[in-house]
Amino acid sequence: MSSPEVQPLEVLLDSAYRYALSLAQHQQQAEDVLQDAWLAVLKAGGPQTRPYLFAAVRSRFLNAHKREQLVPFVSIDQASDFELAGTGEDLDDYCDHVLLNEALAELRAVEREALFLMVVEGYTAEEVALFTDQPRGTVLSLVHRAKSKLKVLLTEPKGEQRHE
Amino acid sequence: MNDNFKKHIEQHYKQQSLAPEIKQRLLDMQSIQVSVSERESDAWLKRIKSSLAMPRQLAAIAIIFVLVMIPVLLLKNSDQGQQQLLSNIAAEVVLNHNKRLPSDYVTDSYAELSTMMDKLDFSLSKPAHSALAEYQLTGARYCSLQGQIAGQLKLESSDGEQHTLYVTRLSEEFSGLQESVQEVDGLTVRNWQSGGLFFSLAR
Repeated sequence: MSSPEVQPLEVLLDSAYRYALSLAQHQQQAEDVLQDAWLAVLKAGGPQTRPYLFAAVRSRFLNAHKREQLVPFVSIDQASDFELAGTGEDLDDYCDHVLLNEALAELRAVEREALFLMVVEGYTAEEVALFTDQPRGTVLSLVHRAKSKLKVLLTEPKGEQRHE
Repeated sequence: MNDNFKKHIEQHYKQQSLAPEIKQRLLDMQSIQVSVSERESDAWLKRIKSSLAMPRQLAAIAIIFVLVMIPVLLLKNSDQGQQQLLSNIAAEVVLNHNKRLPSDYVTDSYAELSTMMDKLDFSLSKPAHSALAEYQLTGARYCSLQGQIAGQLKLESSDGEQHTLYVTRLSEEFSGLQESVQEVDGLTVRNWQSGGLFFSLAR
């Protein structure tokens, strides 16, 4: 996330939209957040690069949701997360995209964000930690917790699901 | 992490992309750049610096010239800055208007709307501007204008046409803006201020 890279703008906007979607899990909200972030980048004359635009998206999402108090950012017990988290090997057969979308909606925004940045964008835990200003252990913990929740949501019938 | 699981997550997100019309609008917004005034100020600084290397008489002439020109330049830059801000507002308003997002609060009463939208840092009341005389309020949602919280009000004219009115607090940034009318993408955007509020109407 530290090295600026030049991408075609259309690709950059799609990436930033997916990142906004991973945070908001809602199409219109993601479009609004991206639009605000893009305007801010243009107004500031900032570089049109992925790290810069992603940072603007993140900042706008957090500001909007702090204002509306929609996203409680609770502290995480890192050790217990590592103990609890599964590896995800049982999930392959259950990954229908509609179900996956519903399951992702059950995750907290910070968990989806960490999962998205590592799995889709291919950043390392160290890079995600730097970008999100969190310890590396917390990032790993978020990803493990996300996987663990997805495993429950995608493999167990609804009535039997545990709620953390 | 299991490779297939990673692949499913990756595919899920990579299937999502911005609608082409929204992407095009965002690309069109690239005309919004650092205001011309900032670039001109930098140029003047460079000129002042280079004048220090001139012979004294030339430097004195240059300094007098600069002192005379500063008020003129500031006036000009202020005007350019306001034009830029009005263009930015119009672009943002048209972009949001074209999205045609549904109202989160449905009412035809400004008083009721003001109670519903309690996160706004100002009170909503029926605007007195003549441009709105024939329009009926149908609902509203929260939005932002140049990063400032705003109400996005849906209005309907007697012929059934939809219009969007943006209302936000008259901040210091907006206070110098004169009433104006701009054409953007075939839409008319009218900006004005009244009663401590800034209004922008797209139709």
